Amino acid sequence: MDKEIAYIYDNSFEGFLTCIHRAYYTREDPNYIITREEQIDLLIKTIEVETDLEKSKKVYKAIQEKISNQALRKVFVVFLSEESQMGLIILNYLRIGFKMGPKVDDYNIHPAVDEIDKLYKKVSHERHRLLGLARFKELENGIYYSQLEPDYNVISLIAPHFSQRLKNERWIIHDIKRGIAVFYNKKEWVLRNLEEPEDFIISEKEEGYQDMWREYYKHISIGNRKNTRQKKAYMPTRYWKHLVEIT
Amino acid sequence: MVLKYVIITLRIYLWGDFFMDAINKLKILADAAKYDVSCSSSNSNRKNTKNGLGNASEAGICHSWSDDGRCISLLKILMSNYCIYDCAYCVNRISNDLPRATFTPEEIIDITISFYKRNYIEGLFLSSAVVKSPDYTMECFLKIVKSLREEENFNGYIHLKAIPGADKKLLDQVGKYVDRLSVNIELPTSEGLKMLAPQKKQEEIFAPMKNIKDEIDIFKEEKKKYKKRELFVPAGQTTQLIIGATNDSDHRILNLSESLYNSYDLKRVYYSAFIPVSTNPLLPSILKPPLRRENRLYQADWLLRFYGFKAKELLTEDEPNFDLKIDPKAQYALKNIQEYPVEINRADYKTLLRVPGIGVKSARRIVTSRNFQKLTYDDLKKMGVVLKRAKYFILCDGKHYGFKSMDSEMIKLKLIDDKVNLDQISLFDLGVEDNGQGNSIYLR
Repeated sequence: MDKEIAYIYDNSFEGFLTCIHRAYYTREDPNYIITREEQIDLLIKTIEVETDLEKSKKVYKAIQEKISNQALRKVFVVFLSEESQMGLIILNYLRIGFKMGPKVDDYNIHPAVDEIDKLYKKVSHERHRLLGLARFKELENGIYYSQLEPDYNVISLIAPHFSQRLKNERWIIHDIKRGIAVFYNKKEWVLRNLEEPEDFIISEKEEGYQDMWREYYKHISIGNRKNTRQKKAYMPTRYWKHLVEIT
Repeated sequence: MVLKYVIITLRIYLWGDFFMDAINKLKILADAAKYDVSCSSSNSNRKNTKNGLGNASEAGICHSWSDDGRCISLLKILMSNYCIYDCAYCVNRISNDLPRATFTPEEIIDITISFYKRNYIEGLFLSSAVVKSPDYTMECFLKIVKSLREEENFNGYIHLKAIPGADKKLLDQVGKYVDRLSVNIELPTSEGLKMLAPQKKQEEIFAPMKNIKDEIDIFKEEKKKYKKRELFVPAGQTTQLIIGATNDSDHRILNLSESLYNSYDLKRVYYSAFIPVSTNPLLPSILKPPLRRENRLYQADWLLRFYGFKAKELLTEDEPNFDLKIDPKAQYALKNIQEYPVEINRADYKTLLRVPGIGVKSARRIVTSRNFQKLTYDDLKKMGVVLKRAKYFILCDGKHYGFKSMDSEMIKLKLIDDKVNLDQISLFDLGVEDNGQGNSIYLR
């Protein structure tokens, strides 16, 4: 029996697309597409796929042209899920996508399409959720700073929203789980590594507004209609840590 | 040195004072506003401007959920709860003994902007008791929304309550600045209004709705011609009806809603079950708020707006109320059982929507998926169809999975809602607030 194959890439989207390129041109059928950090069985044959910008660009364009822009977005969003099965889910989807063209996304009862759609929904859902649940603190230097610990790697998906909404403010959205942050300087945003700061000085009015928000939060609820289950269903407790209003 | 110290202390003192004051008002005026059902921030896609702050999101965004499980999207407050009216159903009526407060425009603007920058909210939902006169109240509103838009360049969502009886000119002016306007009808009929809110007149409620509708129509027409036409209430208008304070039938209420959607182009009608805790002899002496009835009306409302139903298909003069045991779509299907079963692989979209257990999303998925392959009973599961309910009304490639005969009595037994028995919820679970004020009537 043939040995199982695992492609190993360097964590980047380009590296991942290079793997897709290789799967197509070698006609190999990888069983895993994973990053170096992920553990796999010793019996599996690993192939280090070196990131090649030319090849990744080809795949990028092929998805756009042969399937659709929407498909490209879907692939990128699902890539950010960082789930171990993500690599194969995308590969399977692209295989049928390249055969069917743009209409593949209507074929949602096909298992490959159904699977990528499910993961896409999960990541998009968290993105949408955090558009509402991200909280900014005003720092002494006027920067608005937000700390998050999302399940998926979504801060680059929420950055465009805030660069529209708070376009005349300087802000930072910090994913402390992954040690990365989006920085916005009133013109454009960039993604950089950033360790968790030990301390930061907040503006003199910051605490006053936080108190105000907490009081509002308490008083807008109808006391005798308490429904914690529903609240938790919409706003899972893992997000509470960074919410000002929850004490 | 000393001077610096003095300035710092003074600043802390002043800010401290500002926050203390604002927080106290916020408590009172959030409490007074929380019984308004609406908190939606959708249907507007207002863009940010060059030096501006904020934008609106077409789909709306929830920023938190309060302990009662409701979404918090907007800063929902009253400007003031000093009311000149004495409506029997309302918590802010003049004869009710409760703490009163009034925000200054500056306070409202400051809180809105500061909350917005911290991403606590999508915008402002401002309402008020009628202070001094309807015109005066609307003038205060105008000052606030105008300043938010023009001085602060705020482009977040603003939902404003229009005060019945105010001058049309004021309404036209605030419409330029806000995303959504609403006028609460509260009582479905003029007889009800006469009895419970004698100072209000039904014409005064419908007149502003008509005005808003006409102005929105003009706006839509002109926008086709001039791209730069200033906005007018881009997210449309809504209203709220109280259910069960008067003895109006569901038939009457649903017909009212339908005509509001058709002739006033309303985006939403909200329904609010009446919770009576008053000794006022004019109010009905029901013990429990009609929560399930409220739920049925919401379901029927959805059928009007998204499922292509007409009010007269759902209820008639002879059968004026919804069956509390089954939902309105199931009630329709059982009454018109000769229209079923429906073949999933052939029925058009509109027909699919009339099948209990099939929603808008699953109907769409059925229509797109069957272009690729014939759909089986198992495929339907993947598409989110609730087969437990749908199976009595469908055929999958000629095969029926329900009862052999289309016996509506038998099917009905299978469709009875048994999830939550709302009748058993006690009054105290439902928003009757014991705040030591006696006699208060609160709306859900």
